[in-house]
Amino acid sequence: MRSVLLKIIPLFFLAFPFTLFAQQVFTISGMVTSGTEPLERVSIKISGIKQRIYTDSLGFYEVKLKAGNHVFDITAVGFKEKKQSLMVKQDQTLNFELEEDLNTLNEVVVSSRMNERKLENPQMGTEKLSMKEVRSIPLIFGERDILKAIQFLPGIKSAGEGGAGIYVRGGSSGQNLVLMDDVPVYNASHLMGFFSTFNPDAVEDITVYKTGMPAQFGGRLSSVLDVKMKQGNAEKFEVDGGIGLISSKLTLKGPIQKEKSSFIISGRRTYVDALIRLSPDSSINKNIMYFYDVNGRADFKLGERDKLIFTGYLGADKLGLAETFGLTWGNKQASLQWQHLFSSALSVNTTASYTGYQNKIAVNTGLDNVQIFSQIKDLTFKHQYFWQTSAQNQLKFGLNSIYHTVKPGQITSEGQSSYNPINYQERYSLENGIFVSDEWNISPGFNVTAGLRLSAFSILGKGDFLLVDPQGNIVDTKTYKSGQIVKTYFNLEPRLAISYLLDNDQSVKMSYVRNTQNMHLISNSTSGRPSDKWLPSSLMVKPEISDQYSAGYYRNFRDNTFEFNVESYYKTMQNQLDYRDGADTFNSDNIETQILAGKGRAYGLEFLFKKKKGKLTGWLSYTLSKTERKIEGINQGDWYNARQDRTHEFSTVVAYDPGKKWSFSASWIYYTGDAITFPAGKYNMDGRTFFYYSSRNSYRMPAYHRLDLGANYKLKQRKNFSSELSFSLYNAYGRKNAYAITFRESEKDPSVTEAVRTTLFKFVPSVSYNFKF
Amino acid sequence: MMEKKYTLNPAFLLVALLFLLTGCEDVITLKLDEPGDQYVIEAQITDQLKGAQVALSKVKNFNADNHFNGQSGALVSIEDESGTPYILPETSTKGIYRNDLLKGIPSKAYKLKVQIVGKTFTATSIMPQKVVAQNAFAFELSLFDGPRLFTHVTYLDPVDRENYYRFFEYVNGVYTKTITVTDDEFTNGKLVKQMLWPNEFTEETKLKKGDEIKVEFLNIDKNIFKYWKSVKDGALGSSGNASPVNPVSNISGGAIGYFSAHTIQSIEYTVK
Repeated sequence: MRSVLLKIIPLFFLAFPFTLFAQQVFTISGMVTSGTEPLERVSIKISGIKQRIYTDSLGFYEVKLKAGNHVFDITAVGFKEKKQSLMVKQDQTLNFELEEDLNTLNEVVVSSRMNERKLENPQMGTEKLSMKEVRSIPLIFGERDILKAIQFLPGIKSAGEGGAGIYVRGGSSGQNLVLMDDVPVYNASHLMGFFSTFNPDAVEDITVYKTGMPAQFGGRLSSVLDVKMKQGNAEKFEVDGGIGLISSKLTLKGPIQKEKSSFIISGRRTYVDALIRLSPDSSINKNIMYFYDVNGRADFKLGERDKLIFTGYLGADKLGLAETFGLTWGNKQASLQWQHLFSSALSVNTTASYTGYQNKIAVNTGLDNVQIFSQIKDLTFKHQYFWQTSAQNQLKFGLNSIYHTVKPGQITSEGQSSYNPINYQERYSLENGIFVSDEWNISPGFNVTAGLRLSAFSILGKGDFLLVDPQGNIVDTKTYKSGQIVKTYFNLEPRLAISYLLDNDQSVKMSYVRNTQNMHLISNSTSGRPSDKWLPSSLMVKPEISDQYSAGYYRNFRDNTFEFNVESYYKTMQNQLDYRDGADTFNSDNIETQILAGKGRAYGLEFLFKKKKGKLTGWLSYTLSKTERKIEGINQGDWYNARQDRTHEFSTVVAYDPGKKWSFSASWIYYTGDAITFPAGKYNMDGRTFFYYSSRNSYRMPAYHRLDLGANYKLKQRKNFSSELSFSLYNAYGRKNAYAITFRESEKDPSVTEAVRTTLFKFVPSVSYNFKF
Repeated sequence: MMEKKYTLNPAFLLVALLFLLTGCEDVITLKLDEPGDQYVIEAQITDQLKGAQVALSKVKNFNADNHFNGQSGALVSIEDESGTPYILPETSTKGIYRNDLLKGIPSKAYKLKVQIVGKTFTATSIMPQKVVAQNAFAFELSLFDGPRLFTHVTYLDPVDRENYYRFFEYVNGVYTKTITVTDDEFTNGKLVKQMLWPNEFTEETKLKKGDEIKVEFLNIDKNIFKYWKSVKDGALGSSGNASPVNPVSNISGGAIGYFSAHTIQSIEYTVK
């Protein structure tokens, strides 16, 4: 391994030995289109080289090939496979036009494009799911939420019944980097976490990196959830829509200038409050509860070598209890991306983006009024190069820079209120990263991806920064002026992945990755809450660091009809934060006095068996895992189970599509209950009962299991118009899964106590109507 | 403020539950550990006569009854700043120790000492200066269950110091069991109209015309505020928080509970 590293490292810093490859190697490039529009991420297999290549977002591909005869094999979902041979003897353009495969267009089945786990690619610990696949998973309220769909995959766990929160490989929900078209989302949930911010109609696909994150990603400890949104149609106008029990959606796509530019705009609004208004109970029908999302994207082709992409997102939740209480929270995002091809081998991608999350609480009782406002804003600049230095070598390098502004809390009040205005200090920081990553095909079947990321997190003034002793007492306060650097945390994050092809159908992979995180989410609840606060590193709050080692075995059977793989991992985590007992979590000026830091470890084994082709498709997934924390001041300083520790998790998804009007799907999930703290006793004070706790998270919630069923019915197809009805039944056998277990004095007999299980969803049927023209 | 902040989250959940879900509650049986040998102390001295009382008990098994598990035979004393210890003899109720003549003075420190079978527990509390409760009244608000009357208490928070408060509400002589504590982090120097929440949002807890309401208004010290605030992190038995913990005690020696020197005022009104 060392000699490999020694070979790669000079590559990072020296000029590239192009000329060495110049002889006998020619560049073949071209476009893959549907005849009308470019197709991105189409897989191209070329005889004579091991690696598959993929088209970029412009439908462009490029490969360096030795002289001689090569067969190109192009596959894309919804299109007929195309094979073509080419005698390579000079640099040349070769374009492909794929023919739509009408039989598979509306199919649930997913074949190669998104889903093929590339045996020869060193990248491991990734799961990909396209919206087409999500169609084959019955989901609650019929809402095809991609963040819920991925919870059926190994190593990715649901943070709570019906919720969109996610734990990946023992990490917490604030340790996932959630990206919407490359722009981070700080709070990716709606309605107390029951929905994600991703409108299913606007999503193209998701890639989840559980380990071995490519070096261009940084800033979160446990995973990258890379969600790509749909792009517009440069040829013709299209309308997609859906009407469901909970929400309605509408998407418009079309050209701005034919063949050159396109737009897409997609909206979703829930109308739970419309149902509320129907209630005859006047105490209920004045309440407000809804959320909406608007996604927009425009693509402009500027000549053959340049492309501009603009994306925007706006989403908010509103919750109101009559006129007394109102809560509004949401995300706003915008980005402008410029893709430029310097040459057939070198391209650059430059992005400027904004992302903001804000939360507003307003209380007006008639006697008192108070508003609480908090916000986090990021301005990001990214500049990334992609260089195909040879047929065997790809290089990526670049930088990114984020300016964070965190406004932790501002209280305002008007008139004769009981409250004083308060404005907690805003926090400013600059998060810089430079990275380089090299993917090298050392010999046939032997590939290495080596990367290095240097992150530098600078805390900036102005502001007062606390120094705190281990007991939480303030030792000193340091004051900094505007723009002054308070402290910079440097971290080197090496990333290494190796794959070895045993034969055409089997490979083994290993990887090591270090991640750091400087924006911390300390949440003492399980589901995403609008009030969740992001805390930047400070003099006392050190960067979180994780090191993860993984190894895996991958196998395809029967011409890629079946896939089996197993991965294991061991992860250590440093500077994991938790609140002290009885912490005041609101006053952010003193937050350092209220938190504790410790370490964590997580390890596990993940199995996945998948059937990818045929009328019957689906997968079986099993995860065996453990995740623990050790924080001085909690649980007597001993190791304890993290809340999300679940020993066993099994899930299966089955879809049956005979290619006729009806298609069916089912999923079943089983997992060990979460680790939890239950009382070890009780005592009486002031005439009421209180509960006594001994050790943390030493109990288990009852095991969780659930069956969901789904069916799609295609309605009559007319020219340019298709529609379908989707039915789903969540928790089909009505298992009373425990959402929470609480303890209280018995209502019938206050002299005894009882444990009460709260179940949220039992038999949730739903139906929705979707159309397209 | 503090009070509101801690009660909002379950409120959201409640709303979500009402409209979205087919939620239900069932009483279940769990196998829980034995608590071991754990003492609980609830000790107080007030600025009134008959206010000095210590309740000494032990944690009981979850499946036992809820009656007070009083512990006899302890030597209990409260010491004032001059170092004079006042003994609190055990009363006829097992585990209750009282000295009816002992009365505290605001701004003075008091020291508790409890000795029982080889164990010694000590704690200190400073009785805060008195803040006058001005008024108590009912005010109607519509929250999650329609219009409802809430008791409000007004007081002028002194601007020159940190203040901590606790409220007890009695409806027709019955304690509502709601724990209300607050500080002046957001209300320093203000005329505060503190709202008192019901223990549960049920029909029975709605205030009705003619109800006799009594509010006890306590000025407590910072440690006691912290104790009650941390009670909300778990000791009430709800697992809304990820990991419930025992409240932060000001007693050293390993007991659960608190020792509070506080002032106490009563204020009454009738719902019209």
